[in-house]
Amino acid sequence: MSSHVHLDTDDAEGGVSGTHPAREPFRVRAAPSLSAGTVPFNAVEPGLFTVACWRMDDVRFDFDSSFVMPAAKKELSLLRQIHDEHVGHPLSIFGHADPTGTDDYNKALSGRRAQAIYGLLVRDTDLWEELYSHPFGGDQWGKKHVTLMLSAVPSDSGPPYTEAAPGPGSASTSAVKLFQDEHGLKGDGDAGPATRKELFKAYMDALCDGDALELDPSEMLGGGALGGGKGDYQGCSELNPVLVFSGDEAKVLDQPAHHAERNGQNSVNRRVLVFFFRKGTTIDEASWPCPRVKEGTAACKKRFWSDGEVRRNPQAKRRLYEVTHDTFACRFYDRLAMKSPCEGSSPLILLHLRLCDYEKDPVGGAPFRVLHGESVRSGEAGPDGFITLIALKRPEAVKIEWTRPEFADDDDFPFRRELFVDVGDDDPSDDKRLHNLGYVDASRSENVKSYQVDFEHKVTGVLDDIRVELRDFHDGGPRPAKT
Amino acid sequence: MRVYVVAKGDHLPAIAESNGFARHDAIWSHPDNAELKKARGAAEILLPGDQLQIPDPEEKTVEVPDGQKHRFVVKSEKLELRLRIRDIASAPLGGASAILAVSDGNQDLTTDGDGQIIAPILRSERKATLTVGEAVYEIGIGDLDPVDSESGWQARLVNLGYLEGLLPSPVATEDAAPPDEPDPEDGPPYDEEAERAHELRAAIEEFQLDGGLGVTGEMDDATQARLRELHGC
Repeated sequence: MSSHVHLDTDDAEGGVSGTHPAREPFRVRAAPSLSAGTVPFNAVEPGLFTVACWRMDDVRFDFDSSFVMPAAKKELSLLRQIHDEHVGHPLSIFGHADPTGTDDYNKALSGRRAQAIYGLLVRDTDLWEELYSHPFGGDQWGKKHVTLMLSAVPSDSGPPYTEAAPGPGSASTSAVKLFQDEHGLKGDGDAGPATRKELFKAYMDALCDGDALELDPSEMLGGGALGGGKGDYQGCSELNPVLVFSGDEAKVLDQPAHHAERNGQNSVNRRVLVFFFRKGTTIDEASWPCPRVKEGTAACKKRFWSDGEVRRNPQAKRRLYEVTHDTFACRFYDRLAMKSPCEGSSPLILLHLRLCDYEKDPVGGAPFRVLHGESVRSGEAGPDGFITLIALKRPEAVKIEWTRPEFADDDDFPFRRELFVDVGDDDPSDDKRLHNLGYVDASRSENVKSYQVDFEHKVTGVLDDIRVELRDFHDGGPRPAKT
Repeated sequence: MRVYVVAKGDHLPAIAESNGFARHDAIWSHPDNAELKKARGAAEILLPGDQLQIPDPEEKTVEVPDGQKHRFVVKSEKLELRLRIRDIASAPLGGASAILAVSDGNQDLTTDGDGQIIAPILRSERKATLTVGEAVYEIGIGDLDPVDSESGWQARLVNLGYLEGLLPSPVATEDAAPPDEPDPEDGPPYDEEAERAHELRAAIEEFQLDGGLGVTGEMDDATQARLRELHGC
């Protein structure tokens, strides 16, 4: 669990697709051979060149997970378009992680996301089952994801099997049972392997708009023929970040107190790319250097730039690949990506919220969930009660529910609030602050009075008496002392 | 004696023919071309701008009796196009059917065990189209520049699959707006020149790795020698 959640914003893009600039057609420049001459031959050898791309951002996966969120449907329709425009161009999938953790750990994580996308595109439910039944680090598929899938799959009668955010306490058992009944499965309400297989397939179809986007393994670069996804999908670990902090930033962000900020900013590095290659490109084991998802990074490092470590590590200034083009360690990948309009970073909005109890004391480790649009994102607050929301677009308000860690198993969230974010600093902004702190009376003076009572101040009902303190506390400062 | 300046796409056998020589050697081995011959090595690979001294045609007098027919045969040298087709993993494409379209017709060919075809071509031939299966290659005959020239080593990297196409130096335009004063702390800007350098360096490093050389990103003498060896010329 993490104190970060992504916020889906319906009108924002969680990915991008595009074509690479056209180059002159492959032209062989040859020397003729005189019989007693010095030209034994001219070599003619095709290369690996990309023509189009697609990217799906971190925001379309569950946090720290390879689970593809329902909102990914939007980006998958972009992939469908670019795929339809590139019939006969083989493609390959590349997952990327952020630089937190070891290379090998991140290789596995990024490989799992690539595997999730590949499994989705070719409808290989066994690959999803493998992800489900073999958790890795923070990437654990579970009940929450079963509910998410059921909330995106239409039932026989039309609406999904369950709401995106079922009320507290309402187990998803009945939704599972309904799904089972409608799919000829034993209706025990337990999403076992047989049920998951059907559910994965139904969810994949829902994400890809039926068979509008369904690939045959033969369309992949490795043709599904090399085993273990070789050439078809791979994890690039943390080797190719699109954002590298400056040395000074990295020093600060690596301190535990700043991990939330670090992980939030690193969101741009966690992404999945698809590249389409020139028509007719085929590869074999020897010509494709990327290791399989289950292999380590040793083969990647053989393909590093001669200064690959310098490229991927912090330097004096903060660097973005789209600006400097010098942040990827893997030269082989850089060659595929350097002309691509998909390798960039969308600017992100980070919102830091502190979850408190009725006494206005922060609730460290508070289990929480954020309801926004169609989506539900859950996590646990940090020890100081802080959580970070990562959004592509600034929302006006977010609906959030939380509880105390000791009640985590109750499936109930006693604290609920629609919070204003980015309140600003004009006069009405202080009404929003009071609202966020739980003072939700219609009248300003009543709210101020309640605040003054809680903090044992002189009760005046005049906002100016508490404004400085209110702003300081609301905007991240310590709890005001009682006076 | 006159001077001929080699143009883009020129090759010596064609220059010899258009100047009425049966063999290129009449030009190439002329003492006035000795310096160029030494510099270039291969007669088939010249650089646009090279200056060739073209000797005046020699008059040859043959005395023959009257009242008979006489045949004079000029034995011109033969020219070939030799290509080695490989797959993406650098393995020779052996036993493959290929069609070479040249100006005097189509030739049906089959690659040998090394993936090689050897096709006789006219001395004046400048281009050909090779079709191998689905792949169609446009070939410029005489377009290959010496390996120690930038266009020459780039073309070999293209032929070997390391570079997507030639990357000529960007031409500076005079009426372009002057660039903003760069912040020295920002490092060099990623402009057209930097983009070109990035792509070239990637191709050179990949080649150096595959060619068993030290990976430096520099197109040095050793890299050029290896490039000529693996490209075939």
